[in-house]
This record gives sequence, C-alpha cells and structure tokens, in this order.
Amino acid sequence: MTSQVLLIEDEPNIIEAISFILSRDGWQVRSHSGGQDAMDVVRARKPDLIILDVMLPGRSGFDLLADIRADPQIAATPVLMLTARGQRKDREMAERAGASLFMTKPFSNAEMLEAVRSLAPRT
Amino acid sequence: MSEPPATGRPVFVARGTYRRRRMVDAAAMLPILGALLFMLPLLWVGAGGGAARTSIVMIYVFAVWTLLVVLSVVITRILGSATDTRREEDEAAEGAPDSAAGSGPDHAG
Amino acid sequence: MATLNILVAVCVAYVVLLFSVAFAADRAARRGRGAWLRSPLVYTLSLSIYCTAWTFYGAVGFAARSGMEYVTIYLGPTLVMIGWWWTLRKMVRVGRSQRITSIADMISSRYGKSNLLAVCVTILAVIGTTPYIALQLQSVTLSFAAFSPAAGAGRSVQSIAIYVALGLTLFTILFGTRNLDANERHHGVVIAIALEAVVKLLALLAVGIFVVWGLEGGLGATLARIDASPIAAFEVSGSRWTALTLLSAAAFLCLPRMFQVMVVENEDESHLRTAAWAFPLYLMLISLFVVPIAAVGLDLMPEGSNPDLYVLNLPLLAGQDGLAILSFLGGFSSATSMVIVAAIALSTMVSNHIVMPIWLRATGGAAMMSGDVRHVALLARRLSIGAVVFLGYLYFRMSGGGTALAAIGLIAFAGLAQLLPALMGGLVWRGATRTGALAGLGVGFALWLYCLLLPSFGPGVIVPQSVMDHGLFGLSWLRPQAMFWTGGMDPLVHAVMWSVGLNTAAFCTVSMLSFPRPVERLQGAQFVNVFEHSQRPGSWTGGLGQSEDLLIMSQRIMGAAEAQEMFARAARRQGLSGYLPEPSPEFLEFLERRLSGSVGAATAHAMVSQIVGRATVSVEDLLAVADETAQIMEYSSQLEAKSAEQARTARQLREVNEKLTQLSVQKDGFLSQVSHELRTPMTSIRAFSEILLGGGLNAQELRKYATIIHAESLRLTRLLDDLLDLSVLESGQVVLNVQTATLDEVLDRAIAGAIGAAPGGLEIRRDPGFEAMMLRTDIDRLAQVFINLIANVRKYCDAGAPVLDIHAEPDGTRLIIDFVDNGTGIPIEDEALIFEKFSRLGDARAPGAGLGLAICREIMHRLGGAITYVPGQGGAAFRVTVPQMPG
Repeated sequence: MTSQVLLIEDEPNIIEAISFILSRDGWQVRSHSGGQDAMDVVRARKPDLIILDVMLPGRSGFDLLADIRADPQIAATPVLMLTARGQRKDREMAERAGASLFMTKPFSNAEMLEAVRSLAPRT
Repeated sequence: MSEPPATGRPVFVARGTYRRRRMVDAAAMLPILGALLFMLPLLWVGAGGGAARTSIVMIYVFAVWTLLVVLSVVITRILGSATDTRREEDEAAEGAPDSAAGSGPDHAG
Repeated sequence: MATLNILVAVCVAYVVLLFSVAFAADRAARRGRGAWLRSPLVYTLSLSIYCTAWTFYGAVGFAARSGMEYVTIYLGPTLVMIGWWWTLRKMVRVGRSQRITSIADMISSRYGKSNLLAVCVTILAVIGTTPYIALQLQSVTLSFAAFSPAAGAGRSVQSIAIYVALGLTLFTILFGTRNLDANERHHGVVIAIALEAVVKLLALLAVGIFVVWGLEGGLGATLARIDASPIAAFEVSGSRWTALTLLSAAAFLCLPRMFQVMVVENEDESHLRTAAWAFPLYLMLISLFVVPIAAVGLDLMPEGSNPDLYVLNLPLLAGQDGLAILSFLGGFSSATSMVIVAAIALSTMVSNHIVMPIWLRATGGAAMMSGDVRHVALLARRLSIGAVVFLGYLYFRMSGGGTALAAIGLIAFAGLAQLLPALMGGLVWRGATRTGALAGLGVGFALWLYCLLLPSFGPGVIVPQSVMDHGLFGLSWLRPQAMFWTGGMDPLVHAVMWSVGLNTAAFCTVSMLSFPRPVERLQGAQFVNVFEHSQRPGSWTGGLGQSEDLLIMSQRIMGAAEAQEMFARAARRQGLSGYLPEPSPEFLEFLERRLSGSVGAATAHAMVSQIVGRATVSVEDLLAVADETAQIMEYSSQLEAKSAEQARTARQLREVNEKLTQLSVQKDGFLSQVSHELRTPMTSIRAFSEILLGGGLNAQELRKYATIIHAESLRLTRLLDDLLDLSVLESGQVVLNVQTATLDEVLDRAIAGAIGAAPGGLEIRRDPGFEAMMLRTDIDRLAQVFINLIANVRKYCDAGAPVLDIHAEPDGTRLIIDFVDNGTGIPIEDEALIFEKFSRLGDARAPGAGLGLAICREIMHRLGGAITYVPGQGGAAFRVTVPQMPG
C-alpha cells in the first residue's frame, strides 16, 4: 500500500504540479483547497504526510497546524509547510507551530521529492 | 509657513486704540523732552561772550514749564477720554485669538 | 510786642481753623459724605507738602545766593510728574494692590517682606528726616523773630518752637492715628494739608505780586532790577544743575512724606492723571516770583540781613503788616504740613517695623494672652509721632539753629535718594534681590554719611580736619570730598555721584550674584508685573510670606502641632500642598475666629491685620474677591480652551501616528503580498517547466502544462504592469492622452473590461440622465479607474445579489460619478487606508495586490479630479470627480 499525502493548497495550478510530481514518484496524493473544513478532511483521511500552504482562504495554515498538533490521534503526522511569502518570520512561526519541514515557493521538483521522502517512510 | 507673532499682539489695531498708544508714547517721551529743554540754558552764552542773563533764563525756564504743563494737559486728556487705562492693556496682553486652533493636518484619502 | 501778640493770635486762630477743617473732613468721610474730599484737586494739593518752609523761605534765600539754581529743586519733581506714566503709575498701583503703608513697607514687601530691610529704610528715613523737621521748627522760630527782632534771641521765641512742636504732635496724633490701619486714608490730615497748600501758594504769590507791582512798579522794572542785581549772570555749573535736578527727582519719589501722600493716601489711581499737569503747574507758580523777590530783597534789604527771610521782611519793610502776616501764615503752613505728614509717615514705619516686632518678640505668646495688641500698636504709633517730632526739636536745639541747617535740605535729599535704586529696581527688575537691596543701601548710606552728612557739621566737629585733607587712615583716595581722587568737584555733586553710583552698582551686582528666596521671587513678580497681575486695586494679592508669618504667630498662640495641622488643612481645602494656604479673606476670617478663642477677638484681629497689613474684611474686599473669582473663572476657561486645543493636537498626532503605524504594517503586509503574488505563479511555472524538461509526457499533457505556464506568466506580467503603472503615476512622468468621449462610452468600455461577457451575477444599474455628457480628459485612464471600481465590486461586494448603482451629475464644469454597491461597505477604521498603496482590506479576503485604488487615486490626481470614499451610503460608495481638461 502506497503512502498517502494530503495536500492542502488553494492554487489549482500548484496542486496540479505537486500532485503530478508526487504521484509519478509513487505517492497517493489527495488534495484539499479550503481552510475551514481542512481539519475534517485530515481526521477523515489520516494521511501519512500533510503538505500545508500557509495562506489558505478562510483559515491560516498556522492555525490549522496548531489544531493538528493538538489532536492526539493525528498529532504525530509529519507536516511540510509551504509559503510564498518567504520571510524569516514565517519560518519561525512555522517551527514554533510544530512544522516538520518548511519550504519556500518556488521550489524545485527534486527538493519537493526529497523533502517528502525524508518525512514519510515509504511502505 | 508663516508663524503667528510670538507676542500674540494684534498687528493692526483700531484707529482709536492706535491714537491712544501713540499718546502713551508721547506721555513717556514728555519728561525726556522736558529734561532736554531744561538743560538747554547751560549751553547759552551771554551777549558779551560771558554768562547768559538770569532774567532771560528765568523767562525761558518758565515758558518751557508752561509748555510742559499744557502738553501734559493735552496728553492726559486724550488718555483719559478713552476708556480706562487698564482695559486697553488687558486687551493688548491677551492678544488675538489663537489662529492655530481648529486647523488640523490634512487627512489624505 | 503788639505785633507779636497779634501774630500769636493769628497763629492760634489758624491752628483752630486747621483742626476744625480736619475734624469736619474726618466726620464727613466717616458718614460717607464729602466726595469732594476724594477729588483729584485735593490729591494734587496734598502733593504740595513737597514745598516745605525750605521752599517758602529757603528758595528765595537760595536764589539770592546762587540765582536760578533753586529752580532745579522743582524741575526734578516736574519731570517725574509729567512722566507719571513711567514710574508713579506703577508705584501707586503696587502700593494700592499690596496695601503698602510706607516706603519702608514698599521696599521690604518687594524683597520678600524682609523686616531687616524695613528697619534699614526706617533708620535711613529717620536720619534723613529729623534735620528736615528741625529746619521747619527753625523757620517758624525765625519768622516769629522777624516780627520781633528784640525777642529774637530771647526765651520767648525759643519756647515758641516747643509750643509748635507740641501742637503739631497733638494734631498728628489726633488725626493721624484715629485708626490702627495705616493704609486707611487720613481724610482730615489730607484736607488740612490741601488747605495749607492753598495758603502757602496764595501767600507767596501775594508777596511776589506785591514785590513786582508794588515795590518795583511792573515787570519791566523787575527784570531790569534782576539784571542789575548780583545774581544777574546765569553762572550755574552744569554738573550742579543736572545733579540737583536728578536729586530732586529722586527725592520726590523717595521722601517718606511724599510717598505717604502720593501712594498711601492715594484715593484713586486716576487722580495721577490730573496731578500730572496740575502739580507741575503748582510748582511753577510757587517758584515764579522767587528770583524777583530775591533780586529786590538784595537791593532793598540792608547788608547782612538773612535772605531766607526776604519773603517776610520785604512786606514788613514796606509797612504792609497784613501781607506780612499772610506771608507768615504761608511759611507757618508750609512748616506744619511737612511736619504732620513726615511724622505720620515715620511713625508708621517706626511702629510697624521697629516697635511692634520688638514688642512681639519681647512679649512672645504671653502678651498675646493678655492685653490688647491693637492698643499697643496705636500707642506705638502715637509715641513714635511724639518721638519723631521731639527728635526734630532736639536736633534744632542742639544745632542751635545755625546756618548748618540751611544746607540740610539737599543733604536730606541725597540721603533719601539712596532708596532709589532698591525702589525703582524692585519695580522694574525681577532679578533684584533682598541681599542686593541691602548691599546697595548699605554702600550708599555709608558713603552719604561719610561724604556728605558728617562733613556738613563743619570740619573738625565729627570728621577731623586731617581726614578731610588726607583721607581716612591717611589714604588719599578716601578723602570725604575727593573720593577715588576725584577732586575739584562740588561736594554735593561729588557725594551724590559716588553714593548713588556705587549704591546702584552694589545693588545690581549683588542682586545678580545672590539667589532670591521664594517669597522674594513671588513678590518680585507681583511688583514688576503689577499691571498683568493685579487687574484692579484691592484684589487679594497677599503672598505666601504673609501666611508664613501668620503660621509663626499662630504657632506661638495655639502650639506648633495644632497650628500646623490647621494651616495644612486650610491649604488642602484651597487645593495647595504644604503648610501655607493663600491668605484669602475666608482663611483670614477663619484664622481670626480661631485665634480669638484663645486671645480674645480684638487681639486676634489686631494681630492678623498687623501681619497682613489690613483691617477687617470689608464689603469692598469681598467685592474684589468676587471680581477675582470671576477672573479666575475666565482664566481657567482660557486654560480649558488651551487644553482642548492641546487635546485636539494630540488627537491629530495620534491619528497621524496610527496611520503611520498602519501604513508600516500595510507595507510589511504588501511586501509579503508582492512576494506571495510573485512567488505563486513562479512556483507553478518552475514546477511545470521542470516537469516538461523531465520529458516522458504525452501531447495532451504537454499542451496542458504549457498552457498553465503561459497563464501564470500572464499573471506575473499583469502584476508587474500594475506596479510599474503606479510608480509611473506617482513619479508624475505620465503622459496624458486627452480625448473627448461621452460618459456612457467610457462606462461601456469599463464594464466590458471589468466583467467581460459574463456579468457573473452582478447587476449594474445605470442612470442615463447625464451619460450623454461629453468628457474631455484622458479617456483610457478614466476607463481604467472605472474598471477598477467595478472589478472591486465584483471582488468585494458581499451582498447575496450584488447590485452596483452608477449615477452621474454635473457640478459646474466638473462631472461627479458615484459608484454605490449594496454590500456592507468599508469599515470606518479602514476608510482612511483604502486609497493607500498596497492596502488590502482584511488579509486574505480576495486576491490582488491592493494596488487598484491607489492607482485610481493617482490617476484622478493626474486628471485634476478626485476619487473619494463616501461613507454612509448603504454600501461601498466611491465618488469620482472629473474635470474637463484643456487642450
């Protein structure tokens, strides 16, 4: 069974790109584009890895991450955070909120694959 | 930007007030005028190159004296005919209403 | 002896007249009648005590010796009087507002109510005035002797002096000390003096007229007589002329008796205005016939006769006994009025500043428990009067009535002129201090004694001849009449120059080097700025110094702890901290009541008024307090206005600051936003480029990914265009392309550009009324603004069924176009920011870099119009004002 990656991101083109890269590498990729109901999706899917955008419509990625870390059932899930703002402040906030890894857009596809591989052991 | 005058005194005053101010100036200058006129005989020389004559000096001194009395009458009358002395000074001291009041910075947008 | 008896009878009759006039005036004043008592004329006439017997007899003697020089003694006061606006006005105002009782009180009040200073001034005044009183007694004695040459040296004439002295003491005590309050006007005394002023003027004028037209036969003959007399030549040294003028001016201000009539007895400040011309006139008239009388006297009187008595002897010589008696009365009234006023002035000083403090200290609290302080104070004043007159008599007897007295007038002037620096400096210079005043007075007084008074008794009497010749301790620069090697000067000019000069120098230097106590600074401010501070005379301007004195006194009576507690409580009630409340009428009344519980009402009253310097709280005072309250309210409303203004400024500053802070936050936000807006398309472009580079894609995928890359590139380009557009607009380098179009054409274009073919649920309502109007402006730019506004409605309008109303209306040559939607509008706190660059409301409500409205604002600015947000229209409402552009 392939590992499942949940991608929470609002830009359709970026979803398309990441999905393509990861699924070609053998990951099962699910995506979700809203902020409000993202937690329900996370609980329902129980993914092996979450890729989370900081700027989501309706809810900030940091809040979402805090919720994830607060829920004992899913708290251990590795989270890769993506941001397009690239300020040091964001990186610090992400670390404090408990992000496993932090990446600034734009990234190279190889970087993305490497990060995902390092966070989620392939089964 | 032009600063309002620091003293807060109005620059232009009504004609009557202006006239009164000049009378105050005159009242202040009168003793100086008197002193100068009274000193004048010291510079006089008599007809023969000697001292001036007492009779002439006497007539001169009393003429100047009379003149000063008359000027003093005129000045105090004009000063007195206006309102009370104090009121004008109060006005001068209080000055114009503050022009800065009410104008705030422009709000952009 | 028959003449002498008549003279005595006339004298007694005259004195009885004076007593009855004074008595009647006092009664009238007490009953509140007699407004004429307070007329400016009476005030002017009372000033004439400047002209004493020294004037009446001495001026002619002076003129017989040195010609016109005598006139300087009257020119000085004339100049001071016509210059009343400069000095007298302020002195009188201060005197009234501070309830000054004497010149010693004035100077001590100014320098922090220093009693040491008051004592110094009092001593100086007594030393300076006593010989002067002696001079008056001498003149009366001499005039009696003139009528009876045989009795001249006899006992009967000598005893006249003592009768006169006793009579004057009685009169002064009767009318000068009716009330304890030295500040109260002595109507009886003043009216008697005014009467005497008339008598002496009439007498001198009568003698003058008699001499000129009676003895000489007209003006021409008199002038010829003057020209033929020994004083025909005007041989006056410039330095003496100037020095005497200045000296008499100074003395006019500093003489205790002048201060008494001019300031203390002043009824109404406006009287000065009349006196400003009337008193110079009086002085002119009184000195008018002096030179003719002197010249004629020199001609007619036998060699060696005393020129001081020409005024009396000329009528006697001509057998005009009636005129002689009138002349005698003139001299008599000059002498008596001077003695009366001088005695009142000096006794006030002596009793207030020397006797009472000593008595209070000596008796301490014990005396306050028993006995009536009020009676003690009155008694002190009465005894002082007696002592002052007696001192004068003693001086007269001891000097033997010799010629030494004749010169005493000017010497006394010079002594009292030492008060001038401290007095005038205190009125105009806030930096003047008590130490400075003491130093100046000390230096001046010492030099005056050494250079003028002591040598005046004659060489060898007090100052040994060796000191006169070789200086003190053999130091040549300390010769009394040639200080600092300045020889060859007139002794009087020399002494005045050095004493007043070094006095002033010491006063200024020490004042600058010393530091005033708080009470001094308070009093200094009140004196110097009297016209700003005391709006009207009689207002309560008592300083904290009085409270301090009151506290000290109360402590002695009530015990320290209790008194301090009471004062502190009163201070707190007045909103002050510490132990010293303002000596307000309420507080004084309260204190008096509290003290009367211990020592009886009369004692408490006397003690409080002794310290505060006034009697009971009168209706007038209460009115003054009411006035002051009104002033304070006015002042505090001014303060309120000022603080309101400050609050306004502070609010404006706060707003600006908030805006700046918000802008800074916005700017940070914008950088993030720009970063986000740039990186987001970049991410897609990079990812898909790498995917394409990796190969292994089918044609469909290739096409799809290439399309994405293309779309994202366009998105990037748009953003960069916006940024560039804005920067071009802001830098003002934009070139306008002015065209003409109708409004509906522009709107059509804008709606097409913003919405395209698909309205997307937005309903646009237009108002065709003015849409046919021609616009002459940059049509493309205006359309850009409209596109932005319409696109914003699409992005932000949160109504279920969004509706945009566009209506236009002309305003002069301009056109006003409103865009109003039916959403919730823009929150008030954001209204100030929406046109700022990079502002985006909320944070992530909608895409876009927040440049749209900023660009719109810049465009409208370039077009000469404006775009504003109109609040309160039901939804977001923007108003675009478009002017017609030239060319």
